[in-house]
Formats: sequence, C-alpha cells, structure tokens
Amino acid sequence: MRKFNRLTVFGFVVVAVMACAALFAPFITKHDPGAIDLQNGLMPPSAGHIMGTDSLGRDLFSRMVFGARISLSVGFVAVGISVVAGVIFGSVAGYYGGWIDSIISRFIDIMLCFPAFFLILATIAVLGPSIWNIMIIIGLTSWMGVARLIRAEILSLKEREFVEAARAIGASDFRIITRHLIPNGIGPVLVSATLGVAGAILTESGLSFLGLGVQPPVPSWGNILTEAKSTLGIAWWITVFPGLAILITVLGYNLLGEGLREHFNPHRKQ
Amino acid sequence: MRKEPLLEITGLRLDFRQDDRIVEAVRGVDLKVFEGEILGLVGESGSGKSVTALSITGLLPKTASVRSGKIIFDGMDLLASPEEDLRKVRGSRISYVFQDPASSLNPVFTIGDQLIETVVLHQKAAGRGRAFDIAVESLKDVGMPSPKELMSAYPHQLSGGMRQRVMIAMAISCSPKLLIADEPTTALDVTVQAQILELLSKLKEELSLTVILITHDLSIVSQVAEKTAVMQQGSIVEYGDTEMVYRKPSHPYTKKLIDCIPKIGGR
Repeated sequence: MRKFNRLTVFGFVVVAVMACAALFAPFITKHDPGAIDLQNGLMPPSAGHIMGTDSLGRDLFSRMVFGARISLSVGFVAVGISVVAGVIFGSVAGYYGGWIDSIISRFIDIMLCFPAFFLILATIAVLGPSIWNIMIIIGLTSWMGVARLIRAEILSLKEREFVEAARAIGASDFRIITRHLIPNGIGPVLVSATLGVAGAILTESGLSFLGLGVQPPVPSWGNILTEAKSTLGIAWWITVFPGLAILITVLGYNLLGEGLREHFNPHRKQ
Repeated sequence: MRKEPLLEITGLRLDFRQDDRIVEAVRGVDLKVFEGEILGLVGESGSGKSVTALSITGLLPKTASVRSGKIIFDGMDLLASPEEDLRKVRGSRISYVFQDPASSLNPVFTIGDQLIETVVLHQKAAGRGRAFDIAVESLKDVGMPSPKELMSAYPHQLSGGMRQRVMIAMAISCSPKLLIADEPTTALDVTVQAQILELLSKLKEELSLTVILITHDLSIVSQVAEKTAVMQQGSIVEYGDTEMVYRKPSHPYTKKLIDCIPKIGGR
C-alpha cells in the first residue's frame, strides 16, 4: 500500500470529524438548536455556549453541528445524483458510440453552456426552495464532468481483450457495462465525486446565504451566515464560525480529493 | 461411418468497411469440422482466420459484415439466428480462448468471480454454491494445483501460462461442444506453449471436445491437430489430414509455410 501524504491525511481527518459531528449531532450538543432564549441573545463564546449565541439566544455550537448535517447531506445526495446520472449517460455514450454518443455528447456540451448557478437560481424560483429541490438541482447540474470522465474511460477500456472475452462467454451489453467496464473505470469518478462534494457544499451555502436554499429555522451553514449579516458589527462569532466551518470542510474535501487523485495516478513518482 | 459435421461453414464471405473503402477479408470459405477432432487453421496475419472464427458466433467488430454464406452448428443456422440466441450459444456450447491471457481477464475481479460468472450466466438454476464447485472442477481439469486457493486470486498474481489455463478453464466450465482457440500459445514462451497444447489434446480426449486451433505456426498444428486447413488471403487453399498436408502439400503456399519451420541440423 502506497502511503498518502500529510495534506491528504489532514483532509481525511477533517472530513471524518465533520461527518462524525453531523452523524452524532444530538449526542455532542447540550442545547436544542431551535431553543430560543431572548434574554441571553448575542452572548460571546463562553463555557456555557462555546461558540456563543445568536440574536435569538440560540446556542451557535448546536446550530453549527445540526447545520453540518444539512450541509453535508446536501453535498452527499447532490453528488450521489450527479454520479449516478453521469455514470449512466457516460457509459452508454462510451460503450455504444456512433449517433448515441453524438447525441449525449452534444447534450453534455449544451448543459455545460449554462452558468450552473443561474440555472439553479431560476429553477428554485419556479419550484420553490426546499432542501430536496436543492439536492436534486445541484445534482442535475453537475453530472456532466462525471459523464465525460467515465465516457473517456470506457472508450479505452472497451477495446481491451477482457471485454471481448466477456462477449465470447455470452455476456450481454448491460452485463459488460455494469460488471466489466464501470468497475474498471470508476476510480477517477470517485476522485471527482470527492471534489464534487466540496463544490456542492459551497453551492448550498451560497444559495442558503441568498435565502434560496435551506429555509430557517432549519439551520444550515449558509443561512446562519445570512442571519449573522445584521449583527456583524457587534457579534463577530456568528459570522466567523460558520465561515470557518465552510472553509475548512471544503478545504478538507479538496485536499482529500487531490490526494486520492495523486494516489491513483500511475505516473506518480515514487 | 463419419456422420454429419459438427460445424459446417459454406461459402462464407465477409468484408470490412472503413469510410468508403471496402476490404474483402474472407472470400468464400468452406470448412467442415467433425466431432472430436482438432482442426488446425493456419495462415499468416490478415489471412482471415480470426474473423472467420469470430463470425461463427457473431462476434465480429461493427465495421465487419457477413456478405453471404452459411454456418451450421449442430443443426442450428448461426448466421440466421438473432443475437439473443447467439448469446446463449457463446460460452455454453461454443467457447473461445484468445491470444493474450494477460488482458483477457478482468483485472478488478478474482479468478473465482469470473469463473462463477460464466457458469451462472448459462446455468441460472445452478446457484453460486454449485457454480463454485463447477468452477473448482474446471480449474482441476486444466491441471491447476490447489484450485480452491486460486479462486480468490487476482489475475495479476498469476503467470502467463497460469492465466491461459484459467482462460481455458473458463472456456470449458459450461462443457461446450466446440472450443475455438485463437492463437492460444502465441503470447507464451515455448515450454509453456507445449504444456498448453498438451492440455488441449488431453481435454479433447477427456471431455470429447471439438477444437479449432487457430495459429500462424504450422509446427504447432503438426503436434496436435488431426486436420489442417491453410488460409491465404481470405480463402482456404489447402485442407486435409495433417499428415497428408504436412508430407505432400499440394499448394505452393503450404510448401512455403512448411519450409518456415526451423529444423535442427538444417536440410
């Protein structure tokens, strides 16, 4: 087993810590993230509230941890959708080639022409903001990269002899694609999916910040930031902690993704 | 005494299309293969021997198409059969062994996975437990030591000769009637070549297989095949008992091929 470098390990640790925080949110928080305590509003970080409280007196740490649940699950589900869609389109295009490939490839080109963020904004304006809509829309606007990756992989893999050998034992096209081609070509897709999670978290934060994402009172890192805007001058902690959380998480996923890419790169120097 | 041939190819013509160019690869091949024999199909690269073999079960690349001819296998008209039926024939009644064992196995799955896949594909009722036994049995048939341990090995852990044995095990796992071996020994070194050829003749006897052995090397054919057909530029120029072809070649091309076999001490 080749060793990972330090930055990759750091990325992995960040990702793991965030995931654990999200997973065990109710066990690591003392306060209900929705409990309002107006008398203790805008308290700076202290022993009772380690990240302080917001203008309604809600515990910021609890909101951050429960927000991690939302932000991370949006990231994962959106990337899941984009990987599934990308793998299906990409493998069909790569395997069958010809006019099927032409149609799918042109469709990918068209999708890439849209500025994704504005497409998302427009769609949400029509469908209304909800956490599910956001997951689906982010997923459906980010599958093109995955599709191109897997298409390229399959184009080269399908010329290999084991594919012909599989046909010679009587395997169907579906079986060849799912059993023989996708498992061999999925490596780069997983790397890009890791990077994609970071992108999806950023997009979700951006949307929530604009008020088009996750709706209050459900906490997400983006909408905590929005609420912090009005008190920026008097309560720095409400802005700094969610900002840092987004920064560190995105950085963590990017480092992990880069590290994995490096790790699977056959040309890497030992 | 001789009955119907197991495989009969008549007047097979096929061509490759590339852009506007049409290249005739096979120009009217007639071939009979009888049950229980090894037929050596000899010819240089590009003589059409491999495409002939691939056309039998419709495995031709998209750029190639059969223009005319008939392929009857065990009473079934293969060229007229739909893809669905051909898929059932592949692997279960006619199976292939290809040239390069290094790339014929899927690198991400174990030997066992791939053997079991073949069995389950054709004998859906078998179930994985039974399929495992059949897979182990075929590994034993091809003379692999400790077949059970081998089931969980990955292709890159095996040597070239072992991989080719695995490919043969995969080919015989569904007890096919016809085995088409396309240059099965070309990628292997000479001592392993001899072992593989020996294995093919042994399997032929034990499992009453019929084998088409495709090669460019006449010396290989002379070791194991009962019948020999020589192909040149898409046609069969010589066909007969290996002994006869070898001793009294009638076609000048065959003579040249025989002259190509190096002999110790010269002539």
